[in-house]
Amino acid sequence: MENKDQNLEPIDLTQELKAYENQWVALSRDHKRVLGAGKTLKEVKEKADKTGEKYLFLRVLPFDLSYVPAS
Amino acid sequence: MKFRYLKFPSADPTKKWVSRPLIPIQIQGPKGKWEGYALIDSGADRSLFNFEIAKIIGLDIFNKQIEYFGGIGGTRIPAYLHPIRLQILGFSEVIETRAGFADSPGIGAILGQEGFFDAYRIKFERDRGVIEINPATY
Repeated sequence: MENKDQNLEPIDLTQELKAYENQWVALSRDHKRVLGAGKTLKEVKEKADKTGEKYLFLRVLPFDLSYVPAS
Repeated sequence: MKFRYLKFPSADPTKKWVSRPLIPIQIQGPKGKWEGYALIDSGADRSLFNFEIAKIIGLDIFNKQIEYFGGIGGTRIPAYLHPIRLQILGFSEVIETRAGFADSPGIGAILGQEGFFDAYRIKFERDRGVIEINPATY
């Protein structure tokens, strides 16, 4: 989230997201763990809520595309 | 306030990752809120979200005006326009704008010009891996 620690490096999700191409994920607030994943937000929410942890949703796009929105 | 770029996996053998400017936001609806990462896209005329988000927060989008979104591929994607309340996580203010909701697997959450770029001064510092966002001053 906010860069309070003055760490200017991008947040590296390359390992965490490798298994979740084309899915929604619920990412832990420290960005270190995927708490739930699936094709619909509803199922991801159900899985992530069971952990009792706070999370943020993220859509993981195909890895073999250079992304241009709305194309 | 500063946010860090996110690094995603890439299938390109010459580089193992791609950096994108996504920030944590909250969208509020009648049945709940959605908190997640949204791509800041200066090339998008308007903010656009996946249908799934509307379902989660209980927006009744289907009776709303349809607007078509398009890009370099020439495809026209229909989206239902709906008023939303949006907050950047870490900011106190909530902005109200109209956004599109579309059924497309290539769309997660996209923050575009109308409504979002109107409300914030956004500085992309890709070389430093940082996006700086402050409320717009008029």
